[in-house]
Amino acid sequence: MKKILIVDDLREVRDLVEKTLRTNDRIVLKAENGAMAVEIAKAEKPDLIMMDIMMPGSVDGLEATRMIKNDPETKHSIIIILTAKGQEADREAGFAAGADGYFIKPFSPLELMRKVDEMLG
Amino acid sequence: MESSESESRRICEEFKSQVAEPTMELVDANHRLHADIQRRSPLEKAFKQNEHRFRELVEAAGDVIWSADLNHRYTYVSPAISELLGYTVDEVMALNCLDILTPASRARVMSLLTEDLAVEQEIPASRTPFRTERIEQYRKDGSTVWVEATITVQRDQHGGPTGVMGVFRDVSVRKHIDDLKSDFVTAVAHELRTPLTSIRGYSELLLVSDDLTPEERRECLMHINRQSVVLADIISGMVEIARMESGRDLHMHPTLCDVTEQIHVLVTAYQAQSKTHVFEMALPTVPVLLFTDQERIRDVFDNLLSNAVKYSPNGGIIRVTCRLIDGACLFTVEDQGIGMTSQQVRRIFDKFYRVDHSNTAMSGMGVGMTIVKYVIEAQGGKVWVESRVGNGTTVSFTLPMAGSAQLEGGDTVEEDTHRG
Repeated sequence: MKKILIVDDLREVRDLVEKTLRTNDRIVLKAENGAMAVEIAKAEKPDLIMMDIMMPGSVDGLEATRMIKNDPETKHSIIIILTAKGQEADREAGFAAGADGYFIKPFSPLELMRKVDEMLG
Repeated sequence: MESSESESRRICEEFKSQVAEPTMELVDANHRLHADIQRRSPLEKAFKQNEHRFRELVEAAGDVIWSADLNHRYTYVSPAISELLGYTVDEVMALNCLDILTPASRARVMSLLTEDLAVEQEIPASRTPFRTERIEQYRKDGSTVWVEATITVQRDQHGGPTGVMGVFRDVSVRKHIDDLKSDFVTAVAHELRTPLTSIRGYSELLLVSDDLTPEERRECLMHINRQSVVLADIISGMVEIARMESGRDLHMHPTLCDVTEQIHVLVTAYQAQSKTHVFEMALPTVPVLLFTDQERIRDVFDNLLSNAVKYSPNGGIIRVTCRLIDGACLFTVEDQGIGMTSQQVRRIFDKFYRVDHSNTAMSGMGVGMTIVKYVIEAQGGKVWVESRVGNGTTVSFTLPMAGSAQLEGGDTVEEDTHRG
């Protein structure tokens, strides 16, 4: 069973991503802010994390990505950023933080599905 | 004795005859000169008139027309400079032109000048190339102004640079409009992305997913439907702002009302919703009667209170006061939140300007404070903001008391009657 962690401050978006990515052989976990994401990543070691950037609280998605990728215990989780921040500089900042993929909202569920299938092998 | 007298007379005569010829020549030359002056005088007069006309043209221009030498000293500046920078012509002539540019603009101008002055070429006078650059200059009072500078290098007949001349035009207003436009695009892009994420995502899911239960399908459709309503609301908000802007059509329905009661009801409702914040009220004990549009004033307080809650992430006290001063009513809404920089305060009433883009939870088109300003000013009031980073924000506004508003109302009625 593969574990997927979905991080977004909006429930409606978390549910959309869950419906897009869930299969019978995947477990879906959810978090609504960066600090929670880091905590769950540590405890559950998910195979893949879908990470929003703009979230309330002191840890935004970029910071959470950095923390997860810098921790030897959690750095193996694949992180795909899914954000409304669509400029080239934002994308560069995402990859600089350690992300493995970058999707801009509004996104195509079909494309995301394929990308995740490919990354989880 | 006698011989010496005749001797001196002889010398005198000789001298006279010697002087006579040059004197004649001088007189002649004088005549010629005089004729020459006579001939030139109309030319000179025309030349002077011409110069006067050009000087008048240059000095009447709203733009600043100037020339400078290669040491960055002005050799001529038209008087419009006082309007633009607050310096007199004499003051600015004593300055180095580059010293009154902001560091970024200075660097830009330096590199352009170096580039242009390095070129040594013959250029037909009729086709002197010029550059147009937006630069930021310091005014005498320390504030800055955006200027569109058109700059041309002056050259001698060998093509070597002898100086620089050009025109400055105040483009602060244009720059401000550009900023507004960019805020608008950012705000709209940000506000549209969230509803569109649901609409695109859930509709595509419905199209490609076979394993959704009937309830889930219904759920997807509900999200799509609800977010399309959000999009419609965004459009309504934009239309509302445009209507307020035009100033024609604010739809005020003033009635006589006790504003303290309204504040009380609204603040109590906010306190019930937000457990993290403490709401305090300091209101007069007697009813405060205002002739005002109740619904609009409720919108104003709603905007101010929701901002106070939104930008005080760690809770704290939110205080609402009302005081009577000189025939007006002064209201304040004060929080202990994150506050704003002076730069942010300056732009707070600009439409589509949002102080914080950092998270989706802080949604909004950045039009709340713009609407607040329109509503208050439309009723003869004033609104202002004081804030410091980390030290909370206080929004104050005044509204005229019922007495004065009623008087104005009475005047209007009388006028109407006269027109009959």
